[in-house]
Amino acid sequence: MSLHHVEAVMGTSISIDIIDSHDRSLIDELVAWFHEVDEVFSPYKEHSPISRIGRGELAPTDAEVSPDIHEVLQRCGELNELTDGAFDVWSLPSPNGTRFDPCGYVKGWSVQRAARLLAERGVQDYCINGGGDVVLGGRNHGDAPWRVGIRHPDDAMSVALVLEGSGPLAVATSGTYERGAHIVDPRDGHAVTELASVTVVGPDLADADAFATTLYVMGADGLYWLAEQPGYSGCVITRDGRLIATEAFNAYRAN
Amino acid sequence: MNTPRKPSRPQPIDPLLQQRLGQLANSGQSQPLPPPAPDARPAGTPSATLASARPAAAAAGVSADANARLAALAARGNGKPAAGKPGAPGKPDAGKPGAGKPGASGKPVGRKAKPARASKLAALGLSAITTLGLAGMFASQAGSTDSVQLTSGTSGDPLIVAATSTVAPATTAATTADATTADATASTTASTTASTTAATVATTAAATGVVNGTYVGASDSNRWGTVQVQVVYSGGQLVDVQILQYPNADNKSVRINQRALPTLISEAVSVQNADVNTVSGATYTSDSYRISLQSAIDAANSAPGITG
Repeated sequence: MSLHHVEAVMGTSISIDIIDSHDRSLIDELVAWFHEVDEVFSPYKEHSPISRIGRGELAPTDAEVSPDIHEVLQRCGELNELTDGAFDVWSLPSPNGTRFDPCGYVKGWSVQRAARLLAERGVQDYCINGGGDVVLGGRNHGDAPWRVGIRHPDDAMSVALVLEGSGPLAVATSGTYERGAHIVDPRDGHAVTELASVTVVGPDLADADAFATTLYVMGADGLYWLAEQPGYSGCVITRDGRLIATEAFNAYRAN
Repeated sequence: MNTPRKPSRPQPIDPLLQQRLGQLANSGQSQPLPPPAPDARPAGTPSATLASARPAAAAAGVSADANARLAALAARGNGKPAAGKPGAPGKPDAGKPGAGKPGASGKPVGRKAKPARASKLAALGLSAITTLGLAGMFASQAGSTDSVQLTSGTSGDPLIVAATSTVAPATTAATTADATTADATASTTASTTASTTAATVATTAAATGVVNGTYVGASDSNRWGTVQVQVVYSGGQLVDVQILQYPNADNKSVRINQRALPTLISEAVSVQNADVNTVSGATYTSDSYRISLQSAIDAANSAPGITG
């Protein structure tokens, strides 16, 4: 009695595991959701609402802008304030040629929303991995805790450390081992390369994803900032292969 | 980049800080900072930061620069520098482990805690000085273990963050220092890079006594601004700390720097081939997904008989 599905969408792959249900309509619902997100939020699609907003053809206040977009834009604005500008979806080079790219928030947000959908359907035990951003509900088969590997920066087939825990829990990792230095400091426009990867653990994947991007921009010192965000902890892996983590992060590490 | 300065005092940024430092210099603390009596300090006594040394594992197998960096993180992390023994290198005022919490002023440190700003800034400077001591300690303990763990019993202590706290004596510090006490070794070694210089001088200080004089840390910039600290040693004791530059151009910077800090743990990361259910680590493209561990896990889970 479990479900497993992998969907190629949003420019990546989303892996869905549902432990305590075999109702395939749940998978269908999640898959439909992720494709909807892709249509609305993709900066790669010329006519997506996000691309139109980026070009100024659509104002965030326009009536045809969906509540989901409003929600994303509002939270992105709050995060900009919360991070003193280190997280800023309005100052990034976007694939559509504008300076507006909310991808750093939308991926985690959409996966978190999918988790909420499952919870609303009565699903307790699940794992959704959206392009490396993970949200967990309940426990795995046999009431075992979920074990989440953190990708090793130098080896796509290995993990650098293992986290263990029960849901609800979110794990987001950002790194530049792919696509080159894609994380840009919105405050000066320069690519950030100090760290090999950063991982943020917390209750909400949308914020965890944004915090991971923020932490990457801030550098290792950003761990001090992260530790002050209630419920969140994290680690960075430096280019010379060292792990630096907030104290609370240790609670999630598997032995 | 390291400009030697005579003891003539540059204009401090913050009048409150100036006042606080004046107290520090004139209120009996021109002698070694006394070990604080726990729970009996006036609010904001900056010596609390320096006095709360804690034992820590030694560091090795990593560069002096990295250690200095780590020490800086630790010093900012909780103001409980991971310096070991009392009298550890570069810690003329080494206190008793656990003898107090930094910022143990009873006042909440936060964005609204402006009355405590002067003491915070003073503690910032002292924290930076402690870092110098830490750098020396780490440098002197190279080779004992392959990891370092910096721990604290109390996370969330009100704390001061320097935007950077790697204090490096001026490269020509020895020439500006008291010539009669200047140690020849110090004068020859105190001339490398900023962080390693900090370590060298701190170590030398422990072995031969602190070279009197005024030391100006390297002006170090980060995203939030520039920090530069100056310390004055006289009679072998730290007698003055000045923050020459501090990123207070806007209130946000100050706010960030005054936030309470966690304890950090640092260790070497190793490759593991552990049994995991899923992998966190961005796969931005379908190509990168195809060659990822997550892809392999998915393939295994999709095998007939494994899942429904």
